[in-house]
Amino acid sequence: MADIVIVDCSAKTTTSRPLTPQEQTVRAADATIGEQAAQVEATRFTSRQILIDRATAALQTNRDFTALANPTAQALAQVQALTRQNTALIRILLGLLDATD
Amino acid sequence: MADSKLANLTTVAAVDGDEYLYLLDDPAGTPLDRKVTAKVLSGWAVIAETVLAATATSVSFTSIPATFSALQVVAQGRTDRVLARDAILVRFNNDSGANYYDEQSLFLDTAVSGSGSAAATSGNAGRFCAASAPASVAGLIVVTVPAYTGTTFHKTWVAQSFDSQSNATGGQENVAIGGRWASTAAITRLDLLPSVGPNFLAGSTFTLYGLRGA
Repeated sequence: MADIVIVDCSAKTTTSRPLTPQEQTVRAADATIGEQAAQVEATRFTSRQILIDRATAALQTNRDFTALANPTAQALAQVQALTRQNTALIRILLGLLDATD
Repeated sequence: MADSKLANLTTVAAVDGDEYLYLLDDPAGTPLDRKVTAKVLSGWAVIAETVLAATATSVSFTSIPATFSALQVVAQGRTDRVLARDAILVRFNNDSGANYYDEQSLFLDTAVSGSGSAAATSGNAGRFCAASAPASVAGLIVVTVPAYTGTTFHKTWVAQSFDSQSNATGGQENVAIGGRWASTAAITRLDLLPSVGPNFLAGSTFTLYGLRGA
């Protein structure tokens, strides 16, 4: 780890020094928190992208279903598909992006 | 007074706004001696600036004068984190207690997300580019802290940042942040540090401005 740079605004001086052991402990804790936060953020971004990709695909699924003249045989599958789509929308709406199921 | 050379007058290091400055009004027409208070000449003034000559694990502005109405940090740089971007943290008065509350909105192409934190040990100031970002690309952060000398309310800040994580459309990130430091103490020190880093790269620039005038 490099030095800390200290800019004294009153004395108009810039100096540097190594971190004290206490400062190193704080910085290590910062890094741990930062890694955890980045992991949560990465999961949320990935989940959101997965849900958006599924929503995009679902548009075609819905078009195909509504184009059917007599969709009786496909109704069950479509209800299941719509339920999954709703779940995805609810996740996006509520920001529950820790998972995509 | 009248027969003093300007160069012989005592230099004042800082002003509080009530001082008079001499003006020569209408110099090309009918010159007139006039005065103006310093507070009229308000605006952002550079308090201090540093351009890192070598890597640094943090930058600390200390002994911040209490003569301004607001502070603003403008920083441009990169960290050595093994990713395309790194969050930049802010601390006031070297306080690493659980006293920071903030909310950030992240815009990455069409993806928008938000996250908040409470009782954190530092505040979010934005993002810098990091090791796997395109070469020669730096992140930009602007942090504004009004009423930093006040002792009635907790201190608040707003920040805006931009980092270019790649050359793709989806690699341009804009972050907006609002935060609170749960302290009524006047701010005399402001630190910026990489969230993970551990270091800012050489060439990173940090400028602290103060807003003149009330």
